[in-house]
Amino acid sequence: MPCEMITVQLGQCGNQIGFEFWKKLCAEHGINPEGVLEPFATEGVGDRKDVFFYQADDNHYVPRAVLLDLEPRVIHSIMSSNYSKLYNPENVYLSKHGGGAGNNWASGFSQGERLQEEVFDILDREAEGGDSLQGFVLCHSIAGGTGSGMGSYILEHLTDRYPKKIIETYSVFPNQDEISDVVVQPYNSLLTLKRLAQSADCVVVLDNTALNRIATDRLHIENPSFAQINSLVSTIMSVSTATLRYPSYMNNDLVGLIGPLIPSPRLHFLMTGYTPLTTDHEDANIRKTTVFDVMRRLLQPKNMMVSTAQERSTIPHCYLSILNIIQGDVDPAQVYKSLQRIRERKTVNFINWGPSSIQVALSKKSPYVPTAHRVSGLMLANHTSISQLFQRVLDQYDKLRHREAFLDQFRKQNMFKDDLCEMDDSRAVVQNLVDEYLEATKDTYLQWQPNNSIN
Amino acid sequence: MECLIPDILFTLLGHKSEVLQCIVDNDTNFTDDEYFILSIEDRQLLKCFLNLAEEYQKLNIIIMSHKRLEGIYKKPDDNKRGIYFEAFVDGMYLALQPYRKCVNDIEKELSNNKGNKCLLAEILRKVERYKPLIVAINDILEQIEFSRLYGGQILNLLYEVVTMKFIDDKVQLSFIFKQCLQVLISQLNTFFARGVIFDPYQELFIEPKFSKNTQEFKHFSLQPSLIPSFVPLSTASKITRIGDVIKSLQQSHNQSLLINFRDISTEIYGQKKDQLFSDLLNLGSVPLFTKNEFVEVIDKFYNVVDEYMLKASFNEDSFVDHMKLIRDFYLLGNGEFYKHFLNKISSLSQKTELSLRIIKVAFTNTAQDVKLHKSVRKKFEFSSLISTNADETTWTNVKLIMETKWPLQFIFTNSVQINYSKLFSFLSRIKRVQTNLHEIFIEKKSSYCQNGHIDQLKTKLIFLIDTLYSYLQTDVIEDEYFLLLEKLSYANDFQTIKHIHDIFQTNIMRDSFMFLDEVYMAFNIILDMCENYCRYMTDITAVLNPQYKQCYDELHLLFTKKPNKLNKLLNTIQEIQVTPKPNQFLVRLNYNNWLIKSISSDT
Repeated sequence: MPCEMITVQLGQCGNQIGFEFWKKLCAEHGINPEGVLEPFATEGVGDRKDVFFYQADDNHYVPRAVLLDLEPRVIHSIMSSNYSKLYNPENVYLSKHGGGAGNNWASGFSQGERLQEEVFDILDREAEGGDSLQGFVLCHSIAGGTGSGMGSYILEHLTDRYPKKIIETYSVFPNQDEISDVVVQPYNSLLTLKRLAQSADCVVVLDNTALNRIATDRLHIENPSFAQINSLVSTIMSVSTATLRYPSYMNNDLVGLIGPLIPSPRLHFLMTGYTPLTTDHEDANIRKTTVFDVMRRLLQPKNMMVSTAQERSTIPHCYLSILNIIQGDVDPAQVYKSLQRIRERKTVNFINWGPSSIQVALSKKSPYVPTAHRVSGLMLANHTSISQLFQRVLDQYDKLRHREAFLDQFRKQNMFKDDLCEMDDSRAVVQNLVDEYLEATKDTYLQWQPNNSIN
Repeated sequence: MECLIPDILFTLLGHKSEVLQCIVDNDTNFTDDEYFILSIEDRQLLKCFLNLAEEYQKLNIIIMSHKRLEGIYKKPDDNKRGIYFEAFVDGMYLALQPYRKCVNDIEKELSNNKGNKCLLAEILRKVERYKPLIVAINDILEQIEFSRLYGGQILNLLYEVVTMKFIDDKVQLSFIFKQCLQVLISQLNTFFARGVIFDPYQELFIEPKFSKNTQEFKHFSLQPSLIPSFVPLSTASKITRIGDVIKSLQQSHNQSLLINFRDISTEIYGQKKDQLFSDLLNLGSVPLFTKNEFVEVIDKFYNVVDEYMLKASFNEDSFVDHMKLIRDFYLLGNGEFYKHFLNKISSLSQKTELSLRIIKVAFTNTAQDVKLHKSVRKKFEFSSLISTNADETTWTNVKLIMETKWPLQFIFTNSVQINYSKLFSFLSRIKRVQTNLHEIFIEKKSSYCQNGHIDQLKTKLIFLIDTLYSYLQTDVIEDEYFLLLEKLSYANDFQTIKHIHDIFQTNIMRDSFMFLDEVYMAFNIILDMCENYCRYMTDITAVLNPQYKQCYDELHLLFTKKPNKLNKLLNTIQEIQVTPKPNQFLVRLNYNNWLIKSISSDT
């Protein structure tokens, strides 16, 4: 009786990171690319494969994954890789139209609407297949057309259809440091962000700006490839689900993981950090990782996988909550000692309007994937500075909107045919979100009332 | 005067001679011509002879009555004093042999050399050498009779007499002691080999205890009044422990009652068996027996048994596996299992009174659902701490019983399992409340009444319960468990393992507030309040119930400066001095310096 999770990967980016995620899960559970348990893994190590996989009649493992896209390129590359036999072909959905969403949120959204029956057939079938479904994990990017637009549509309807299931997303935010070929990216991002704010229960923000910076600065890769970035993403995804897949005495379900991270329901955007990061060449022997070492590093902004400029901000940004998932060879007494040392240093700012602390979950590591470090850790943190990311989206949107640039592509779609109030509405929602995060830095947060003119 | 010598010798051998008595008493009936008048000196001599003879006679009567064949065939009556007394009598007989030989030798000498003049004074001198011995034995006998000593008490008395330095007849008296010691040695011999006590008169300081209802053997216990002083209490307990081990090993072999006394000495003592038993038997012939010799032999036995148990404990990782089961099932280490198990119980029964049947069904079903191995599931059984027959119980009275593999029942004893059960019920309650609070997170996630106090109360309760659970699981249990496994690698005898384990249990119970009634009860009350809150939030009819409303109001008080159950509880925890751990709970709770500040009064 596992608590199943269904992964929905959408669009080019969603499918790419999803693909990396499944590769990683297969490796960690000793499942070969064809879904067959490797001979060395038949004994099992107390891991729960059935949270993310189910077993077909012939006992091979099939990911509880639904692959959706409006254009064939990425899905074709997955289905021609050696992992092609892993997936349930019935769960791979490619729009017959095949033309993609043209990097347009509105196109993706309306195609989502058009294809909803077929898509939800797949999702409902998959959901019925589990004994006690915990929720859905959506992998997508907010900038393109399919992941953002169709993703938004599916997100809205998943929440309606499964109000008692948790909907978690791994949402990739575009790289701000490079000029995007998607000119309407700010529109796409804003419209998606509204859905993430309103329909998702928990959003793990994967900021391409920060991921690229980490790859360059920390891993010394000059021009990081998608594959290298995606490998970082898949690490985050796999570690953040480690306590579900290697159940221990705590944090065995998704709600137990994310519930405490979200003290206020709309402030559900999480940033991540991971340490130690190494390239393949780097020698791990030079560093002796300890729990304290890992926990201390996780609090350093340079290890944070969201690009915020906390140090330059005049606003006293703070943590609403922190969960550290520590893996490896750990003496449990070190956990408290590290917590205490970090507290004594007084470098971590927390909210002043409610209780908050660093929760620590100790998790097992897969014995099948050798790691260079004794201890490693992932931080999931709810930090008010994430609002800077949303502010950036607002600023870019405002710039574009002010010039009325590229709106024609949107006006072609039904939703924007008559007016652009959907955009205005989304802006208001995101503004409200930014405001709320800023309010959360103050002692008076609990007296604050959101602007109720929006739904 | 010389013509009286045969009579005198006859008397000295324990037979009554009225003639001599009359002479001494100067009885007129006998002072006719045939008898010459004795001088005063002679009479004095004769008196001495008779005196000695009388002392000896007292002993001889007892010896003779015990030597008689018919005694054996007689039905054992109330006067029979047990095998130690028998041994005492045998010992007396042996101890007095030189005396009897001396008398016989005099007699022989006389008959061989009739012409030789024999002086009575010379005879007296010879036989009186034995007088102190005879008197000493008589003293012992008197003490036995007077104080109605039996069994181990006789042995004890003899030991004390023998070890008293100023007694000259140590050697002869030690014959008696050794005769009695031999009884103890034989009893220990069968005991160490088969776990059986041959003790028809209840004379040994060890006795088996049986359970009242089933008449099943429980354990061996000590009878302090029968422990000889050369057996220190620690040694005596070692002996009973060896017996318990043998018994339990026999039981673990699942023997039928008929062959329950099988000799398992080869199995348990291995190659050392012959040496051990010969050392034990040799104790009877040690020239100078002392406490040290005895303790040493028992220690040897004990160490070999301990070593055997140690080996068995680590055989196939037995102990470590048991500890893992304790961690997983009593201490909820298998969090996933318990999440489903507790959910299942909630879905089967909404009442606070629980049915054991429901618990068992939920346990079995969960085990099937999470594909727990059958062999693991079968190791556990539930019952009630209060009554073994009742079906209804409450969480606090649930007893979880784990099957143990020999010899680990000596570590995971009944009382140890009861303690674990108490921890189990406390942890389960917290986990259940935690799960319910998380459920509310799901229930209420889509309703948009945020920023109201309802949400914040939920958030704070989740924080409180999560922090409590993290503290108990990580700081207390996991930490101690880590230490336990570490210490275990240095353990080289069974008692050390037991000790390490007992410390583990005591520490986790202490740091889980189980020994502090006030704190423990306060936590339970807060858990009750949380349960009511969950009902209030999820059950629409509960909203109408004034009882829940009241509870809800009280819950709001918890995180305010007004006097409430939480600040009272935290104050109490703050004052705990005996252990530093609870402070870790407070530090975790107050990590961002919010909680204590918001609930403690400004004064």
